[in-house]
Amino acid sequence: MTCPRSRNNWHSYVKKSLSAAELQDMETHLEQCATCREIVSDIRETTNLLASVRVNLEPPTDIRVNVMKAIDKTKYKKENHFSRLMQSVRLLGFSLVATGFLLLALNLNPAVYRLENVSIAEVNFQIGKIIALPFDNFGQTVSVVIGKLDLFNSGLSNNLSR
Amino acid sequence: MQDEELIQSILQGYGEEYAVIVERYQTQLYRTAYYYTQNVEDARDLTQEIFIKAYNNLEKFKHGSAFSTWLYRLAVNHCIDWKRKKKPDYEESISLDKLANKQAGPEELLLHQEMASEIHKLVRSLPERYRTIFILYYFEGLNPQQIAEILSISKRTVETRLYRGRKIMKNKIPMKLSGGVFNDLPSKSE
Repeated sequence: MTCPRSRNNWHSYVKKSLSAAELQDMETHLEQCATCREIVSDIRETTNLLASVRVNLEPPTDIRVNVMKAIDKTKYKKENHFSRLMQSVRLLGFSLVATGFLLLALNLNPAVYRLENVSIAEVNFQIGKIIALPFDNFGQTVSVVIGKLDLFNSGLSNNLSR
Repeated sequence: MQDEELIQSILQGYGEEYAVIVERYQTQLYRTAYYYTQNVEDARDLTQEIFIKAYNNLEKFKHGSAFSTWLYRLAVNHCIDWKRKKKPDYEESISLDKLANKQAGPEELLLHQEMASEIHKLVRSLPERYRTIFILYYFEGLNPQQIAEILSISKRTVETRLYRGRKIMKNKIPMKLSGGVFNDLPSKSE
């Protein structure tokens, strides 16, 4: 390759994509250099030759239809803050209702019975007790299980010693 | 609407706007795909795959560069991958209705068709590093700077490869076809 100053710009020059300064530089150089003038001229001829054999294709009409069918058009749809807040409120509501149902299911009968028979002050006291009841029951269950385990362990160690 | 505005709109949830992008670029992408596949069926499939891939990766598009450059990069890489993985089942010969430049007489038409087929075959036979640059420069009409951005290489490398690519072509192309176009280049034996 000749002319190190211009060789990196030959094809850009032919495609008219040089900056104003580069263009000025190239044109000045081409006036003085016959070799580069010939190269540029040949690049132009090659461009014309290959342009004449360029395929002229119209895309099939179904490309757009197929692409639009294949993509998920809602992919970039984002939820706004309000809808996110509403969803959180809804979830919280469901959780509270579910908790209420659970507590009632555990102790429904005593609560209904008490409500029918005692005063409001008494009701508050009873509700407090009712809420505490599952925890008391749980405590009792745990101590029974621990007792059973102790019995099992002592039986096991007796067997082993024999 | 400009490309960047359309992309912004799509990323805000208006996916149906993508149809405008497909309409705008399908001809160029289809033609580029055809240069790799050499048959219309595969070119169509490849074009569709490129558009779907582009849509699914739209968030990765950096607004600093032109969308067309980003799309071309994706297309060229996809075509190169396709070419590596699959040998085409068959290659269509270049028919006259696919040629951009139609000559007058029947004899000239035949010669032109023969020359077109020969040149396309030569371009396809170029090593990959020259082939893509040749397609983008001579067939797609892009300038070296645009090609450099698409292929993430320097403009200087593009210029060098275009020069060397012509040199390789010169060694292969029959003189009667080129009409002496490659005469400026030193031949292999020189």
